[in-house]
Amino acid sequence: MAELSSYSLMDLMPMEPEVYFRLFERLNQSAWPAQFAAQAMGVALLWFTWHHRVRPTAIFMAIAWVWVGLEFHLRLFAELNWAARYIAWAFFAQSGLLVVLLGLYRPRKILSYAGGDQRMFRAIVTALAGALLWLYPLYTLLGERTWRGMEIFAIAPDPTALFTLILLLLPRRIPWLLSIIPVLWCFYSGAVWWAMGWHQGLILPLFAVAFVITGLWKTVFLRRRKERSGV
Amino acid sequence: MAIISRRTLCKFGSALFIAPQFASLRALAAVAGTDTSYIRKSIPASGEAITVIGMGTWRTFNVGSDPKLREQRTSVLEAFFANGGQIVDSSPMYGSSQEVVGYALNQLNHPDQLFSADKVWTSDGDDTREQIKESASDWNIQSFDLMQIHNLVSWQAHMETLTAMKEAGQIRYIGITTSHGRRHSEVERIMREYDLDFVQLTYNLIDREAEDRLLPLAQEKGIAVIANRPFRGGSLVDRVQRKDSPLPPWAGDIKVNNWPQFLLKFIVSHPAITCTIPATTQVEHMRENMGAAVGDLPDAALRKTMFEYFRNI
Repeated sequence: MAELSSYSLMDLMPMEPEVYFRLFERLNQSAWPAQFAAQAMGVALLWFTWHHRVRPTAIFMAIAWVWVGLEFHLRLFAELNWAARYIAWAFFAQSGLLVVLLGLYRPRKILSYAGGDQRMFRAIVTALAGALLWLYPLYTLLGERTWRGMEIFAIAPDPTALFTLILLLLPRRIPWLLSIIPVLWCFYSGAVWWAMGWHQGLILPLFAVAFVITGLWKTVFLRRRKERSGV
Repeated sequence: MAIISRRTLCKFGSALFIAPQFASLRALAAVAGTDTSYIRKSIPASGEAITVIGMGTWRTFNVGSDPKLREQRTSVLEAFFANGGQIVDSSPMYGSSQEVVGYALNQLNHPDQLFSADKVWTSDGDDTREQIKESASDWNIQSFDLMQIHNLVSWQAHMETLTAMKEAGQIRYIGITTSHGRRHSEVERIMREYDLDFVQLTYNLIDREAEDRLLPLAQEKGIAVIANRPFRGGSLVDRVQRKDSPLPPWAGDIKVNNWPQFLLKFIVSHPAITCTIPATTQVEHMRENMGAAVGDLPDAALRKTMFEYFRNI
């Protein structure tokens, strides 16, 4: 333990900040012009979730996670960081879970959407997801980053994880199993960004914490309401 | 039928002629730095002399397949060789650093002055030879000058294999590494019990724990010492730059022109230290570092003065 404590966060990062920033530029370069399709997919997902279309939501999200796992983690990040191969598999696992839990296995049971007085909550969350879709790429311009390295949903891992977490707030019962990998990624990525000197990356673990708190609040709130109504 | 124009033919022909000439010029520039005016120290095991300032590749050369950054790192290595550099240190743990070094060496036509130092980094004691073979392939070289056991991972198994490889002439020197002052007791035990040629450890103007036991032991046993983390990950240089501290007036006496040279000369002036391996991503910083291999080294009294001066910043 004493030996572990002698490591700083920087010691665990095997690349220079310049190289990590360039990863996103190269990602965008190789994905071009798929960024437009990714944004369109994000808008489609908002429509699907608002209209309770679970299976298309699951399929589109699964595609996003597989693509990011392949393109970012396996093709680019794995050259620099041996852990990226394992992270890629986690992204593939998330994709599989989305397909199995939402696409195949009794989606109504798992994902009955809240209606009635929770419509306001759904509207706010959907608006938040929409805002993330368009504003997060601009957020990633803060600091010394360039527009070439803008992070787009379904292309880069961070907005993909954040968008997923927001959508997971919509169902009546939070599918916690589907939130594990996105939450873990938010903490890991936040740590990497901190070590790289892009402190704006702190938004990721903060967002993950906010998701957990909101999810727990919603769970407790609904249970109490159910108990009061005697149902 | 397409007709090749005279203009196209001339362009193609000149490219065929010029490209190899350019590569030769680049290689020539790279090997120009073998002038004997550089400060060099002997490896006790053989008497072979190497320049006291080498190059590390942790983080700095881990740029993957990024073509722009690979070219930039090649320029850094070119400046290293052009200024007398010899020892390049890497490891499989450093991501793509080995491959990038190999790419750069190819571009520079493999300067003869290269002293290749790599590491074994696997917990599988049966995997030693295989990993070394992969590393050599990444470097685009036939064999390594120095093979070290990285951070003592599975060192007993690797030591046996490395000793056999050295006896078979497949590597010239063997060693062990540690950093950040970790596991010094174990390093000391290995140094006493095994026939090592090199030990790599952290030693700089602040981290001087090795002076107590390991450096005297290295001198006693005739083991060469490579000092890693000469700038403590950059923090020592940041410290003086943040405070905009001037060099002491006597710095010029030992041809120290900037703070990196001050820090590096302190390290390599210890009689037990053979060389140090600063890492950098910038050509200008490489030239600054290599300036520490020129001029005089401070004696014991001046080393003490250097330490006191730096401590008071």
